[in-house]
Amino acid sequence: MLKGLVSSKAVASLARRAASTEATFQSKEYKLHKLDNGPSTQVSVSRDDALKFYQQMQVIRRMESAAGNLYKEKKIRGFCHLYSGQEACAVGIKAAMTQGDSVITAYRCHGWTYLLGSTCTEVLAELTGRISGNVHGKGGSMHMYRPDFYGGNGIVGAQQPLGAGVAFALKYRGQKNICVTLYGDGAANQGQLFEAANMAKLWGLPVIFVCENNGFGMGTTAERSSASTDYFTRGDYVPGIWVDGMDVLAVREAFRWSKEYCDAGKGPLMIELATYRYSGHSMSDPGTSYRTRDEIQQVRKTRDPITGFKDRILSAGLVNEEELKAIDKAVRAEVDDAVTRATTDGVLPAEALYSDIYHNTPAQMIRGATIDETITQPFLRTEDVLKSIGHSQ
Amino acid sequence: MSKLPARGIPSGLRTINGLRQPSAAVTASLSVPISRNVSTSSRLSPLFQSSPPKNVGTSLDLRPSVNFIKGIRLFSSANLPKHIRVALPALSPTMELGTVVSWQKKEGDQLSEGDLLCEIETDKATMGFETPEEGYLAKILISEGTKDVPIGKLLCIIVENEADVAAFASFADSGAAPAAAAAPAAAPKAPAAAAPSPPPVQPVAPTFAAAPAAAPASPPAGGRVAATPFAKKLAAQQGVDLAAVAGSGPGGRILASDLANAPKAAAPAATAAPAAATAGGADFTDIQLTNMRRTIAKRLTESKSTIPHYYLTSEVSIDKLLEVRERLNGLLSKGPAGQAGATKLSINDFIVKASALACLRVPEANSFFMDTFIRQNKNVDVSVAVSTPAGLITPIIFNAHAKGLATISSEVTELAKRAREGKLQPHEFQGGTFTVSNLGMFGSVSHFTAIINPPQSCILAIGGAETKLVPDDASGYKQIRVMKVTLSCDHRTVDGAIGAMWLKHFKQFLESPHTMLL
Repeated sequence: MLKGLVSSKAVASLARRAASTEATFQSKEYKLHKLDNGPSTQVSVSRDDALKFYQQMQVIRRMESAAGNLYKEKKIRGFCHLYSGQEACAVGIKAAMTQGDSVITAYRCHGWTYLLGSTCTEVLAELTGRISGNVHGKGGSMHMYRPDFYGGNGIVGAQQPLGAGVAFALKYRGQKNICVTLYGDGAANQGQLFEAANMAKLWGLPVIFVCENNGFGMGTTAERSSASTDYFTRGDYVPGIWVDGMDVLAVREAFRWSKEYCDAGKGPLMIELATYRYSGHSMSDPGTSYRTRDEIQQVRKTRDPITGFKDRILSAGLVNEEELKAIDKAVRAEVDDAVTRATTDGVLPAEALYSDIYHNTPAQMIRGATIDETITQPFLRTEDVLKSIGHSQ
Repeated sequence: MSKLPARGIPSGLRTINGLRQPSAAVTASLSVPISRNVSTSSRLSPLFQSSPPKNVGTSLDLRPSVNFIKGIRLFSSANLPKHIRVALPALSPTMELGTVVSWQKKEGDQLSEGDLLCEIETDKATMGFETPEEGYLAKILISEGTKDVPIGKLLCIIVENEADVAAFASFADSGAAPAAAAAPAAAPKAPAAAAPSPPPVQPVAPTFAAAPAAAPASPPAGGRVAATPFAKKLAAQQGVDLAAVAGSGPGGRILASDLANAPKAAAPAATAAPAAATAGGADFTDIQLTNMRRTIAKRLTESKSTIPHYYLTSEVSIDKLLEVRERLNGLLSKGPAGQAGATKLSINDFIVKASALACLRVPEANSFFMDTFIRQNKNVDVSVAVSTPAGLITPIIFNAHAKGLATISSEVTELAKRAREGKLQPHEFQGGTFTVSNLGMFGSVSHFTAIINPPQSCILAIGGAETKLVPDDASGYKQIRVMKVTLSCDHRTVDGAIGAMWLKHFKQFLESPHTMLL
């Protein structure tokens, strides 16, 4: 990767020893499938954006690391899939999104939940099941939601047709928005992806199918699981782009271009982000039985999204060390504070188990864990429960 | 647009979904009292403990949370710099105990994200533990090789700055921390109590040795014993009675160093009173379980409790056998053809051969019960029980049915020798289709019942030879040498009649050795 190939503007500002306001870099070549032109490899970033992306990626990294530690302390139980290493994908895509664009992903969703508006506390408290969590502790790791963020899905590949459906709704309502539907290289072989891609192409839906290819479907390498590892071509008649998923600016540029493409009504796209995950598939997987620790360290040294980006913006003179250190410190404080809250806050009262089961009905009779616990719903919605205990939303 | 992250806003003004979340209202309305400082500058928010929230699902660790969460404790009782306490993690959801196999980092090493801290052996596998924080490893509290550490125990300390590493050189795990508040509270109390009662404390200590009849547990006349919290902790650990220790601190306060100087002085005084139970170490020795002992314990308990054993005893007259043995040994000692070095046949070799042949005749005794089917083995691999200083082990004579007595003899000798040296390979003692256990050589056992080694079906227990008088037609009585053998059988594969048949063949082979040629 050609790092830090700066524009003349940035070079001049380096000479002046003052912070510049914009820098341009060269990203890796995109690979195109059934497209004549694609996103530009000349990617630029403003100073403000550079700091914002750096901060967002650091928060996700530290938050996922804190989640891992909490899991090892048995404060988080059940499933926990960490995003460490793939931050650039989420941050880059979010940077290209506008108000009204929807996202749906699988279970590696903590970073996304944060980017789409939840605080770090809400994410970690949701993992520990507390009332201050994203969905007040009722969802857990795989079921986090935000406005225009459809989760958080536990079944592999279930979100693919849902994403196409969301795009259908956007088009139906005449919105100039896209639905970003993310899945992994393991889910790329699921049948419903092809069914969804068919309908999307047929009806020209503004859906971008994004394959976050981290090289492993749980413990199976992509080469061993897929007859074709060019996931961006798997859409066949759906045009595709391969993007270096460790370069946040390349991802942003690719999605800016793709959003333009979809907003213009040209139909769906299939994008492959080549990325890597440092931890195992989930917390039950140490991540070293199917790959060597050296390989992970190697990627950390050469392709890490955060240090790569940091080197770029530092050498371009966009930011200086102190600013980044300050961000690191603030991020650390934020995450530590979130960990404290996530381990000390209270939980929803038991009545909350009976709420948010049906939509728009009168109170129904719900069976509890045993027949003796069958009651009529005391509260229809979780917000009613929260109101009753005086916890503001 | 602000350059600062949006989340840097003080929590009091933080919004969720645009609705302001007043932290005071939140804390007041929650049913659980939470004592924490909601300031965003967490540098000043000490990690308080809170009572476990109601209705929370599982809370495996019942000790105060401050030990387990990697927290930033600024003002601990020893005024240590900012550090992170790393507890032994649960590397898998079912892990409860872990053994620290090796440390990949030394104290003082720098830790970067993704670096391996140590290897921890769990119930399932040995897994690497990556460092939870970047920084420098200040202190290792659980050293390499420490077995069966419960999860949550303090493993190591990580600090942010290299300069802080030195501050932890003598850091020790204080166990269940009474929190920073308790330590300063105890300190002012101790001098207050010591002041009015220094005279009683001092004389009690020396006179105690002279009056061992005095109940060691009774407090001195002045009231509570003045001791530093650390001394109290050490005393509890060592089982030392503080009333018996002379304090050298201000006001007669007992310091930790006093315990080091005079713990044994207190112990003999206490043991003088026979009722005293505080003296440890003199009445028993604790032996750590070796792997072998552990395995024997597990396997034999399992065998005895799950296999339906029954026992068939037979008295075998061995006169003819002894005769044959002498003749064969005579032949062997004269330098037999094809044998390297004269081997001396023992009764056990005949027993091994006879068992193997009997197993061929009665294949049910040579089978394995495999839960859903029975495996009848075509070859007879006889496991011979050997007693070693480390424990009981059973090296195997493979294909004993096809080997001659001399081969069996030399193999048994060689295997037994290596077993006693601990040099057996796993394949040499794991397996086998039938076991022979001989306790006759001790002269104290006339007959015994042995425990079957699963998955085998039988084990033959040989008792000592005895001389017996039996009636004889010719001269009225005669003297014979007999030995009692007991066959333990697994009723799942070997029915009583089958076992009896086996013993019939075995008895015949031993009483008429020439029938082994058939």
